[in-house]
Amino acid sequence: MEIKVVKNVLAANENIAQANRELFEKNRVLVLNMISSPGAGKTLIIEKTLEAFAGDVRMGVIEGDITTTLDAERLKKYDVPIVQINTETFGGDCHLDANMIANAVKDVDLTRLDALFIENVGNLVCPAEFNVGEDCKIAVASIPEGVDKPLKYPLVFIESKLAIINKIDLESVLEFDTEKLKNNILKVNPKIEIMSISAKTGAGFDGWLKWLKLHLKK
Amino acid sequence: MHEAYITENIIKIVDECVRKERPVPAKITVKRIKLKFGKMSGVVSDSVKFCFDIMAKDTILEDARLEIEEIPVTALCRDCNRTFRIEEVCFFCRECGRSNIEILTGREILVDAIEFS
Repeated sequence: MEIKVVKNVLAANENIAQANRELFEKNRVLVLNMISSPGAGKTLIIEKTLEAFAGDVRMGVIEGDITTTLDAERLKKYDVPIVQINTETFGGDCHLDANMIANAVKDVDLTRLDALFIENVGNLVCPAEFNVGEDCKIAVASIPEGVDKPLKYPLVFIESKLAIINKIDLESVLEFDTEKLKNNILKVNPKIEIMSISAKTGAGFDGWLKWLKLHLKK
Repeated sequence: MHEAYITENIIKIVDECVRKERPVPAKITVKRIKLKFGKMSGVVSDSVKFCFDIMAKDTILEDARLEIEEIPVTALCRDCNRTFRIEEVCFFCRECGRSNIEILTGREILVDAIEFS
């Protein structure tokens, strides 16, 4: 006999993501899932944001890495709740899933947070496939990666609400065509918002801080 | 992508569904599993087949044949109301060129039907 089932294979993850979403919503916490290749500058963006909003916006960070607590160590001095997730000591999962986030937030007092950064494992492919209950995904593309990444790894840009082009201080040194990168991002997602910044020099950073404040829920 | 994880979930779903249909303990053999993967789901069919051969061993799915249907990426243009296929990475309406589109299909990872005896 044949039975029709039509079941989503990723339903298990989706169900947990939905529960996370409800928990975040109940506490009015803005949750941002930051995705990029390794070395695009996610941690520095978070670091400078914590610095800029110290005493103003209450933030927390979930750090996802395959291994090491280097990023969490780096953010320690800002005195905000930080949970480090290591997917495996000797090379494990290439992304964070909803269940890892559900476990990580158990240690965080969400009632005392306005925003929670989830710094995903540096990888442009897999993190885009898994919802974790975030309000939105943010794709970070840095100039040294070249103009073609949105075309090569479209899904992360399709799934993101905002694309941050980072390291624009390298624009002239690398003779980089930022407009071309923007066009390629828009080609795969015409609705995405794009901003250009340098987390290092602070160029364009005000725009990012404004964006973040605008999206806070309390 | 995550074909081992996906295959594990497929086996779990099929096992649960079949046992629900046959609550009385009896010998069940799953013969055919119909899967639907969207072109934009990131799933590699050959890898799922490879994982399935290994992971289904010694289960009621051991002899099952995987039938995989690929679902194209289609979208609806909210401006001109046309439905169209997206063949390459360019998410604009093929007719009017505008960007007010909604993806209709192409992200599916589904267990569609199961045949068993």
